[in-house]
Amino acid sequence: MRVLPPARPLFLSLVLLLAGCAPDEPVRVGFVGGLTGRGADLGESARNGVLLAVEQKNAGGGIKGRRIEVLVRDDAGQPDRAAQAVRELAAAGVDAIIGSQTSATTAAMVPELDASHVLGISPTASSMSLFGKDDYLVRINRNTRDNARDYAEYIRVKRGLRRVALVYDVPNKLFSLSWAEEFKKAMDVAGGEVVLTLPFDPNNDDSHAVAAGELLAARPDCVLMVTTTVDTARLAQQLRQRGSELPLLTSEWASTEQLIEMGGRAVDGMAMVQAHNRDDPSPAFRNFATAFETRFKREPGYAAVASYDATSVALVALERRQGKQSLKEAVLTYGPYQGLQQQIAFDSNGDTRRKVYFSVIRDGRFVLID
Amino acid sequence: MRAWRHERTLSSWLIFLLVATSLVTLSIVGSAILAVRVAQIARDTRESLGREASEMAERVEVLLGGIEARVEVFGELAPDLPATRLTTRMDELVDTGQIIDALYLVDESGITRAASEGPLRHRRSEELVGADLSSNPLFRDARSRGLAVWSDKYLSVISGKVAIGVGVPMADGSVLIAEIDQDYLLLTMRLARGGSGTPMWLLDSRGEMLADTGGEHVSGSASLGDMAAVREALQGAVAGKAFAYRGRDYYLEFAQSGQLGWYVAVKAPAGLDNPQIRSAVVELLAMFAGVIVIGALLAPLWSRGLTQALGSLTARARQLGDGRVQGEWPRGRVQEFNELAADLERMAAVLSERERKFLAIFNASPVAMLVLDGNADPAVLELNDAWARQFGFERSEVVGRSFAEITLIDGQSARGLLAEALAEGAQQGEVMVSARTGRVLLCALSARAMQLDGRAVLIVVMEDVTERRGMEHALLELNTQLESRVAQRTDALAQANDSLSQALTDLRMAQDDLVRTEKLASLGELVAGVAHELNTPLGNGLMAVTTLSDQLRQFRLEVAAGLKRSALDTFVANVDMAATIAARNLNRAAELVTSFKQVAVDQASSQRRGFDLRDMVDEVLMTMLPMLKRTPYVVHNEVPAGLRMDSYPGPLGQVLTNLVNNAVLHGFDGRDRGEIWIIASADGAPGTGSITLTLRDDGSGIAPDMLGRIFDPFVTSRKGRGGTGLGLHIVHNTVTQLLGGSVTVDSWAGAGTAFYLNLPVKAPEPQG
Repeated sequence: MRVLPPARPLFLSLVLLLAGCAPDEPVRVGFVGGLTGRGADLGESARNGVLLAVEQKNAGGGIKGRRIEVLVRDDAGQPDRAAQAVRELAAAGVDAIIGSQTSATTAAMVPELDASHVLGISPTASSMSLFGKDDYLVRINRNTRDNARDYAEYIRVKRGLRRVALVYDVPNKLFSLSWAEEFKKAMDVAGGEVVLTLPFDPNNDDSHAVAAGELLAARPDCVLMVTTTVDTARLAQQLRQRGSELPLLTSEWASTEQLIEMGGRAVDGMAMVQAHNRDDPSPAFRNFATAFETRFKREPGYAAVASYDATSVALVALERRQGKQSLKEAVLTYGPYQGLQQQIAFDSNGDTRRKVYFSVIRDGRFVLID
Repeated sequence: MRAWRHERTLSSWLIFLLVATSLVTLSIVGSAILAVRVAQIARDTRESLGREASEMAERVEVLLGGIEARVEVFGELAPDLPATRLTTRMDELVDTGQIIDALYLVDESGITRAASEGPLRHRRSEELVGADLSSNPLFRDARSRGLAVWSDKYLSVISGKVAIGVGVPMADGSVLIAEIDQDYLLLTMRLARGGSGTPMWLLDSRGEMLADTGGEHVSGSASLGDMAAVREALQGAVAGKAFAYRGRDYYLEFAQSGQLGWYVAVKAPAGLDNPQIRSAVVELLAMFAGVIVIGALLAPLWSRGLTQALGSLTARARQLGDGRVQGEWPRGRVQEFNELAADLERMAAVLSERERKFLAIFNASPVAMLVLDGNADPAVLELNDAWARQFGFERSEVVGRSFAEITLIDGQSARGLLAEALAEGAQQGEVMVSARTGRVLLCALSARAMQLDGRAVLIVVMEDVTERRGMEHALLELNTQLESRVAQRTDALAQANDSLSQALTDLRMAQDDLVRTEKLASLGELVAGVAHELNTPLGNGLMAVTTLSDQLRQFRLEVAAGLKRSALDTFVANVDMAATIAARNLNRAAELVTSFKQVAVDQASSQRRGFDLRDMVDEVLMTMLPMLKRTPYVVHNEVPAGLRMDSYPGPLGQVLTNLVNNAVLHGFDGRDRGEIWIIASADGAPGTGSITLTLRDDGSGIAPDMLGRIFDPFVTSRKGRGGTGLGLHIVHNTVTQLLGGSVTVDSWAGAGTAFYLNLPVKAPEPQG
């Protein structure tokens, strides 16, 4: 006796149909950043960098055939919301989290990352308090000490200025105060002087006009702002309205495209460090920039470049990790990674050194200076 | 699946067939219908979504147009207001209805002239006055287009928050910028949506999420700005395809507002999440279930009619099998079954015919055959005529009785044979059978077991082999005798062969002894020659010294008597002469010793070394000089200088000595003159290849009948006159075995003989 001819193929096709209906679970990557609030310029740029890296990887077939899904969380620049975002993402089963942008929000993420054993990759955070620690956070930015030294050297040697009035952002003081202190030390070494270190708290509705007046009253040779893009633009406006022609500088934090839109003529001549070279003619960077502009209708800022690099690191490590290897081990093992503009190599604490570019705003454009 | 491999009743099969056929048909047709229906539902859903999106876009435009109009109206009033009133009016506008968050007036050069964030935030607003907003995109766009412009989402320099703004250009070239409250935007969307429950997204021109009535998103957490997908969706290029979002599929339709530059997206679930599609699938599944139930109820009734007709045929066939009835088979209403009945009838007739035929063949066979049953003591079921004839039994005496009991003398072993045949399928053997007449026959018995009618039976074939076995025994006996005779002869031959082999071995040993003795003898001759040769110079030397001794004694006497000058002169001359003679002779002796030492060492030890062939021949000839000096024969060494060999000079010297001796003893026997020439020529490059060394004499030659045997041992023409007959044998052995060459001979009667030695320049390494 045999099975009647139609029964067998029918059964088989049913089994195949059911098997085909269950696709692979996607690989999940989390993003935490300030998409609303004062740091939204950085947050959106960073989010777009992550999205582009993941979309390109998905177009190339994903990770071993599995699609990658990005889960986006807004921390609004507030540390408690950043910690909350990490908890949510860990519960949603992400393999890695890219973020956040400021040192304050990033520092708040670290205990949650350690607790949930999810690896965080910070594209932009640079505070010394995050540096040199063996935790579940790896960073691809340089630290504030290196940046502050570069600024001090630029101010003393390239510009020949001595007296600096510095204003720093209070909500992100983990970064800005660390920056200010490193800068002060570097200025001592370089033979300069920080004549005023002025705290500025936008959450407390501090007046830009008052702050500008205090800065000028210290009779500095130049003003250095370690503040958000918005506050840098507003302070610059106030300083210029008071007729001051002093050289202005801002930290790498505010070096976004929006600074020019917001500051207009007031930020013309302002000098700062850029974490990437926007005039880079290399094909890798031009392809990236073109894809980014087509996709998001904006020029990629430093947060986008750094986040794209951070995401690439995560994706390469996810793809190459073996068996039960943790992602952190994988990230530290398989380096160095090819970033858009430089190689990314981690030390055993997951810290890197990054090259920077001094720029000045001239006629509404960032111009690279040697 | 496995259960269906078992046997089932016909009615089960009929029910299964009916249900399966219906299901397969239904699943194919149902899938086709479903595919068409799903496509139709998708098209309808998308069309309705598209309409909804356009409608929503229009409504949003209208609602936001209200804000735009309010700002425009204010803008027309503004130029006429004094500065203080301007700020107050702006505060009022911002304060009304929680719609506008901030309002500022930017003059044509981009400098902020007035700003308001409401009456409570005056200080901050005032700080903005004088700020340069010339790079602000809203200001630029509104100025360049001369029309009200809505921004995409941007970070406001006024509030430090993410905002949406509208820029309204005014107649004097300045621009009024209003930032809209995000909550109001969501409110507007909800207002525009009205009663429709469909979730909507409002996206700016870059695809950034501005508002989501579904409440899934806060502003900014998603970028759907894959503009390619948006454009394709607008052009309907992806019609029918679903949009995957957060792990679920949706139909998504966009409409762009020309005035705002923004997109309204409306989505509805796709696939099984869509209620219409779900109900279509449920309908199809319900039909499946119905078919199975109805089929299961109807099929047994319908199959009963068929199985009844078949049942009567089966019963009839069973009767025939038991041999109970003959004749007509039952007929019914199914044509195929009637045909089957006719076929079975025909088959039954054919079978009975065939049975008769096989019975005839069985009885016609000349071989005795039996059919036994499969019991432990097999009884006879059937026998053929040949068997009855052979053993003289009547058929009735045998059938039904035990085979062993009727016929066998040794019943026990025959039973064993038959039991083995039953167990293994076949068996052969021999049994003693007692015929009816009492005569005992030896029979070859071959039994084969088989199944007949479900029972085991044995087919037994028997053949009388009594006479044949007797002849076989006689033949076997003869064979055994023959073999033992052959073995005896073989032993005798083997013994004879052994003693011959022993004799041959003894002979070989004797021959080897003789050769060794001959070699020692020639060494003895060598020593004698050396002694003779040394005798002359040593004798001369001795004589000179004794003469000198005499003259010294004489001289002493003269000194005692008084020395004369002439005597002293004579003595000095004598001493000089004696010393010269002694020295020359002692030198000669030393030379000879050196030369002999070399030859002796070579010959005694068979040392291998490099040497010059001409020198070597000279040395050999020198050792033979005492012998040749007593004869009138001359040996010429015509070997050219510079031929070097790496070989065994001692044995080669022995060879030359033997050949020269051979010429002197045999070739020149009885002659008063004779000459020997030793010639050599090299073949190939120096240091390699071979050298041909020829020794020729002008003697009497070798008799032709001996020429073929001269290298054999003990062949000589001087038997009884001192020849051993081993000389040329040693030459042959040494040349071929030690020196690795060959030796040939030519001879002309009365004209001489030539030996050709072909020798490798480099002798082979010794074996073993």
